[in-house]
Amino acid sequence: MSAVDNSSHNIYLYGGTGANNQLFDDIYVLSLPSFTWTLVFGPGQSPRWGHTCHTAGRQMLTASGASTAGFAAPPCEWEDKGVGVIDLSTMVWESVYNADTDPYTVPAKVLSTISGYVKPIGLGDTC
Amino acid sequence: MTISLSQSWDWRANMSEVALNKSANPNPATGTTAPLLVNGALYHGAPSDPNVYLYGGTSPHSNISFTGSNWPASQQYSLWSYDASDTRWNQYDISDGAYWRPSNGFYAEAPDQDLAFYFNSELDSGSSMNTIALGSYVKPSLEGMVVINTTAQTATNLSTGAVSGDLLRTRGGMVYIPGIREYGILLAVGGTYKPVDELDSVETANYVPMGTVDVFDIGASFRNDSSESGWFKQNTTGSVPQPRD
Repeated sequence: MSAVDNSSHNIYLYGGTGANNQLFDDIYVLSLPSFTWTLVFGPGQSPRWGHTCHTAGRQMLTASGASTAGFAAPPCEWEDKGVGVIDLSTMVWESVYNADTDPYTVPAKVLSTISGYVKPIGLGDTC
Repeated sequence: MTISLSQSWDWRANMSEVALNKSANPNPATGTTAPLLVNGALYHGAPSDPNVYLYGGTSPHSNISFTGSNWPASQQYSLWSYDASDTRWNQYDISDGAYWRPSNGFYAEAPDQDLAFYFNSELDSGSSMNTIALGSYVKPSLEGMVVINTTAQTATNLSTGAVSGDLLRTRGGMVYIPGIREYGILLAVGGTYKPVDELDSVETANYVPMGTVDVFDIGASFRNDSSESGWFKQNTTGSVPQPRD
């Protein structure tokens, strides 16, 4: 996803599996051109791996995947339709896909990391 | 399976999933439809192209009686097109790009340039009727990156020696970012690596650290027909995620 002024390009990484069958429930953003990672969601308790991610407007749709390692039956599968929806600006999961979203804005956590907006120093600050 | 993106929906209430019969319209020339495949790539194709493209993948066949399952098919036709408007399949021999049907590689596409990319991969017993003997083992395969022109249905294989050398990667992410340099860049992130052609089980994978990502400048090599590899390594900073696939 690109900032409206093209000042950054943001790549979203959601979940996956790591060493020792560790499962992840987190979302990171890799911002270009600074190549800075920012944790923008989680870590939570509902991991997901083997899924695919797709952008539509400023939302990300996730399809399929699994919430447990191997072929174990999940104890509680919240994505009972196999689809997840998250707003890539607010980082809030929701069940509604909106065909007409607001324009994309860079998440606040990413802006604070890559200095998209930095509060000026020494201009009346007292602390 | 199709889900409309032109109308809003709520998956708790009114999401409409429409299942298309994948066997309704075989390739008219051969009478065949695409085999059941997993872990391949699905490409959108150029905006004016009505087809989507299925490249690579592997056919699970441990329970061949399962509905829709099939024995692994010949690797010759590893690229298929599907036109959702007339539900018609077509198939292409692009073995100039890669002899085997790859699976679990990294993939991305640049639809504005009619280009699709498939980076490294592995073979398993479902990749082809000629790989069934692999049994429960996987074998890293495809040294290079296949670049497919989706409109012309042609392919070429570019070296990825500068990125992965003899340690081929699988199960990572790759994205296309247009607007950087002349023809945009690809970014390869995460995944696993294993020595090429080493027979092994999936569980022994080594994970690619996230502190470095690999960048491919599409213009520097491919579009300008240069001898440069186009690949360079880029360090990352900040809250670096744990390695994963």
